[in-house]
Amino acid sequence: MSNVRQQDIAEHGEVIPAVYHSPPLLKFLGELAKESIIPNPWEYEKFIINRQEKTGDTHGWHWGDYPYSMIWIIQAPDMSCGGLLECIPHTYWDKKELMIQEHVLQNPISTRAHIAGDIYVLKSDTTLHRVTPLVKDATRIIVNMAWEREMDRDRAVTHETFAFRD
Amino acid sequence: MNKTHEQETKEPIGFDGKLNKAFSDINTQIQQHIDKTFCNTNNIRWMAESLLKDGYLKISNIVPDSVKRVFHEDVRSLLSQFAKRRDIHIEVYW
Ligand SMILES: [Fe+2]
Repeated sequence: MSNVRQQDIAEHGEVIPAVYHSPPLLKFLGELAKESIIPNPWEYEKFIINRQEKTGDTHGWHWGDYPYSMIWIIQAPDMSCGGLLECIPHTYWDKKELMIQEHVLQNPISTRAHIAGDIYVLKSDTTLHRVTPLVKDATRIIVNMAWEREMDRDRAVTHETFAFRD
Repeated sequence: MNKTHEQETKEPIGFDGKLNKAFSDINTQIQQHIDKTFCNTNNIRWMAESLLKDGYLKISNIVPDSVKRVFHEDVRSLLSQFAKRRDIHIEVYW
């Protein structure tokens, strides 16, 4: 999996940082979330570009460090290639005891395929999710953005899933 | 969760809307689009409930096509200049 880091996007990108910080977008997301949301206080985890390209590239099961994510599908292979989103909502992340397999066994899993141009919002801190491995070499490109709750602006966050962004 | 990934040594860069040439225009476009597209508060209510219920909401028209187009161009340009394969080794669940 290749990526473009926050630092490079912030320094050399223009549209991505502008959209991420856009007050009308944040206000509307707050209406959908029923709470005020703010740009992530930790710069590194504001946005990232990820490109899965080789067989086996995956984002394994995880929860998000931050409550709200928006994923922009830039390019997606045919669903027969893998790279599908699987979600288990209303699950809670006990960092001392993850119990991923138990969560997967105990709950229904929603699976979704996407096409280029799709955008979705994920309640990522309480939705266990993964992107299924590519089963053949194919290209899947996404942008992941993450926001914080305004009321949690000063909370301490351990960046467990910094590397896992989808 | 144990993980190792490449040390990210470069300091992050914050955001200043006054220095971003696209910021003002993008805000105007998004505001006008949202006012026009999501003016029905009943629809917003059902979308909010969907997000609450499913933890997921597909909302591909949250920005106008004009913004989506330049957004995708930004991604392609950044990928061509800065993409790097960073293989992440992490405890695997399957
Ligand atoms: Fe994620």
